[in-house]
Amino acid sequence: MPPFAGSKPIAHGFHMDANSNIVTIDVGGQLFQTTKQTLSLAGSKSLFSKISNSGHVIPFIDRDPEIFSIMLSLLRTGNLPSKAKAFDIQDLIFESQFYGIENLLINSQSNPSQFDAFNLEKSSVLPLNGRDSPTSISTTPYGSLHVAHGSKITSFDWSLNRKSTILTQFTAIDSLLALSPAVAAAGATDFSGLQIVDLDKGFVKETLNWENVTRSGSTVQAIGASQEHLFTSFESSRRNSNCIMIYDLNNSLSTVTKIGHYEIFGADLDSAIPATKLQWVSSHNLLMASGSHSGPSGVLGNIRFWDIRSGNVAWELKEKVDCFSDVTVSDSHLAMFKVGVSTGEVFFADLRYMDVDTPWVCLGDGRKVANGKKEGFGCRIESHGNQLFCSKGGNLEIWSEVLIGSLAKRDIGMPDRMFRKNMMGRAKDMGGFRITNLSFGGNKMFVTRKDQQCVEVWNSVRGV
Amino acid sequence: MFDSFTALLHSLKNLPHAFHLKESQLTKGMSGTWSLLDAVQLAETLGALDAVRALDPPTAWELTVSCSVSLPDGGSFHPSLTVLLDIGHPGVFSLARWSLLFHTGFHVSHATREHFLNHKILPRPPRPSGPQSMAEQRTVGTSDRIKLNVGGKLFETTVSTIRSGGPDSLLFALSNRSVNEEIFIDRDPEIFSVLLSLLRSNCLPSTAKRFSNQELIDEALYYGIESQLKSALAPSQLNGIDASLVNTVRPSSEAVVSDFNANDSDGSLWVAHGGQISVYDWNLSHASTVRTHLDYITSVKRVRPEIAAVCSLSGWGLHLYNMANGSRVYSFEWVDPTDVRIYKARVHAIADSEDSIYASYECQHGENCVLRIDKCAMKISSEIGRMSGNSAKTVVPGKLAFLQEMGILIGTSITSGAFGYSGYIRIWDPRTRDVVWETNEPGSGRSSRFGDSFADVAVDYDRLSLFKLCSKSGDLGVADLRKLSDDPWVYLREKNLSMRHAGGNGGGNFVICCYRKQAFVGRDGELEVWSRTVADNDDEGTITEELYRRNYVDKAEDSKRGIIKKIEGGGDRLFVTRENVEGIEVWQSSYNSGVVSII
Repeated sequence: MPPFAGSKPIAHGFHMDANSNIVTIDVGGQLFQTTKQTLSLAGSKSLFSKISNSGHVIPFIDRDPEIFSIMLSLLRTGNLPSKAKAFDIQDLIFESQFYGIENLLINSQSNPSQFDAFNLEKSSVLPLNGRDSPTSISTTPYGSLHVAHGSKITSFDWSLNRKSTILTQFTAIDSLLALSPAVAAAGATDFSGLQIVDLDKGFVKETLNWENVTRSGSTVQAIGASQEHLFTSFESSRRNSNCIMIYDLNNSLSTVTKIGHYEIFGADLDSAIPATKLQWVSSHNLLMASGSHSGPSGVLGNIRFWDIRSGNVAWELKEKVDCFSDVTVSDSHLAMFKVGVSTGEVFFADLRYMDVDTPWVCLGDGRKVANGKKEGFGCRIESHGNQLFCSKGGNLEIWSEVLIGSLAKRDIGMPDRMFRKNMMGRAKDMGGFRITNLSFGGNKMFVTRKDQQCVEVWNSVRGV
Repeated sequence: MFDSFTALLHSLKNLPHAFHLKESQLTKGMSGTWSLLDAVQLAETLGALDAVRALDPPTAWELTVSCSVSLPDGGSFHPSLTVLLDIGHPGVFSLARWSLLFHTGFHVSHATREHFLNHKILPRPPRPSGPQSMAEQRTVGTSDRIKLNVGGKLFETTVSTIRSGGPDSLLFALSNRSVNEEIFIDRDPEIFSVLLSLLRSNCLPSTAKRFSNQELIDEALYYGIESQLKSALAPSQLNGIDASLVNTVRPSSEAVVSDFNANDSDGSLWVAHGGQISVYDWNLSHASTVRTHLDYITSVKRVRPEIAAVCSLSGWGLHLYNMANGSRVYSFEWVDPTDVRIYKARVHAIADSEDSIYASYECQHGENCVLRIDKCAMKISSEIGRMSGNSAKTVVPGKLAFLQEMGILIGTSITSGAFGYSGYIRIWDPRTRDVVWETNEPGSGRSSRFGDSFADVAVDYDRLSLFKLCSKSGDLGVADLRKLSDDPWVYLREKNLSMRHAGGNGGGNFVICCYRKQAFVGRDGELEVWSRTVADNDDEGTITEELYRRNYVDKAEDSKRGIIKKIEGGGDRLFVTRENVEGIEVWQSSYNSGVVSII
């Protein structure tokens, strides 16, 4: 049906000046008045830009006038009016798509700037069909969510109201990275190649592979991305070599370069460890690659910071005592954080003072547990915004830096940074099954737990 | 003249307030539209009218009434009213199913404007005559706008929107009227606004949740836009890896279902329970139930839109019941003039094709055959594959399937005994009545899996392939129906690590069904699906071991409800019955995430 038809000349009693700023629109029989400036906020591609140029006639739009009034409020203020609560978010999405202003709706409803770490509340649960628990989750900045469970990927839109599920070739997806609300990169440690999957239409856009000299195929150990690049850590199927491939995200995923290529001969354990976490550190233009190995002598690991242009290692940390269980870099803190696998404590290392021998500073009370237990086993640590989120078993800790103005101490090179933790959630949210994944997108945090076929959504609560 | 009726009607509706009617209220009433229902109400209230008049009110309504129509007495009013209505309609509305007739008088065009506009217009002289109002109408560029007054609420839309219901709909017929007139429809405006949104955007707004599906369907039927509503309410394409249990259809008596038939064409569900057949429409609401003469129906098949074929292993013959009036219309028995032993043959399986019904008959002494019944003549046209029934290879087929694309009839028989399963798959060409292909298990040794005979067989009509479920290993074998050979089976390999432990329990209760290019398997209580991945979803190429992947459809707790007895797909729903469990489970896929709020 035509979006607007049968435009009328100006109604009686409406003095309409062609030069006037005021635009009158007839939506489903109701008249609305607004200004050209307001309409221009919708952008040039939207229906409204056509309307504001309609001249002497009142344009008629054959849509529901009630929802239109909400769309107009959204256009005027950038926020949804409270009367929008009478409608499902799905209605508003469809209608905003019709008018071409979905981006405004997303901005008002799932804006990353609305993320308020201290105000997160467990608000909803996204059920997953079938019996596979989620193995990996990934989010886009505006809160679209992709969940890998078994060989399937279920993708939720930013409003978490619509989903679609596809079946991939992998038996179990271990690494997943959302490239857009409709596209994800997926890989597994037991299946060769990285697949770029279109989740909307359900097809494999591309399969990226790396082969060493033996041409044995290679499995994906980790995926990471910066604004321009896609990083993938490959290990050859025979597990005798590994490398990190860099692809151009803006140029149809062509190979940019290869870094950190190790061929393993003999029992050189350190180089045999492929990177299992890749994180781009934009403040330093470095790629953090970490990997660990659990052997009879305990857990060993290494953290390398790669300069991707030269292919050299800028810093390298070898983890022999209390190796990380998980590690992350926080750009806003200029620091790196880890959870020690044996102590379960959170440590931080200031990225500005990486050249010291032991950069790790324990954030907890520093009690050393030397009984060989793996207190930190399975702990996850992620930074988002100004906070650090650390899972221990079924609980979530939130660490934040307390800013105390003592610049003098910093000047003489003494690290003087104070981090304090809180437990997240109310009493009823504590405990539960072990947390397996943490992810952040829009104003939400997503949590998956062991053996639970669902994704928990923690929302930043606005208002009361 | 008509408008004065309306005015009268409106004043009568507000009887206690009738005496305080002001001019503007009258004007409002005179939107020039009224319906038969209104007229009936008017006639009904005429009795009260005398009482009203007796109160001696010098009110506006009486003035209007008296000046336009001399009020007849109660007895003669109604017939004359009918005449007036007939005059008012130049034969546009001949569709008998519409209970209401519409009449549009001369129209006050401004009534549809926004409220602030109304204020400007209302003080005007309220009743312009026809030509005057036409002159006032803006004729330029209004040709495809249309105004509707539904139950007092005003809607404005375009002709193209209102016509999207198709040329047979009421709304289409209304759109043919002069666009300058506001059309009054005496229906609920809230439901109409839902349906109008549906026509505008092809999807139902959330306000539709205020109404039951049945209300929406009834209303859509009235407007003639049921096909739009049907497509908006229909479940999204069944995706076995993302399906959930949404509903259970439970017949109200004898709810343990013995057999059912889900129809893909219209989404209806035909259920045999005890001696009854119940039909559920595409919305899964109960349409009708017929009690048959049979005590326990073992098979039901829809063979025509209103006719069900039923049979029972405790009775004999194939019986066709008309679901509309509940009567038995045909009965077919197997008789052979040359063999007196052929009598009281029981029917084991029914298959349906465009022009024929196939049923497998078995006599008391085991002799059996498949009879082809011509649907046009409703006569037995031929006898296919007569067998003695002496051995497992010659027993009656317990399952029949007709494959329209290839014109073949597939019969399977599976018997289980102390020594495991045995059975055959046999394909006939119904025209020549010859066996085209057959396989016996355990048997000729041609099968690559000797001793692992099939426990169930299903036909994938979309991909023209045959699925069998091995009784011992639990493996799934696939054969391309276009390339059948001595051993056509490709055994699908288990890839899903999390399902390694599942299945292959050495003889459980296995059920298989193909729907929407997926194979659904019931193993005892567990429901799983075998489907192709996004990488090889095209239909071309040969079947390989790794083509299909296996996933659970259900959750662990679902499987505890009972052993799955039958699975069938229809209308993008998967229907599952369990042994000795009442009702039919309905599994559907949805794009709705089903997010559960826990605040």
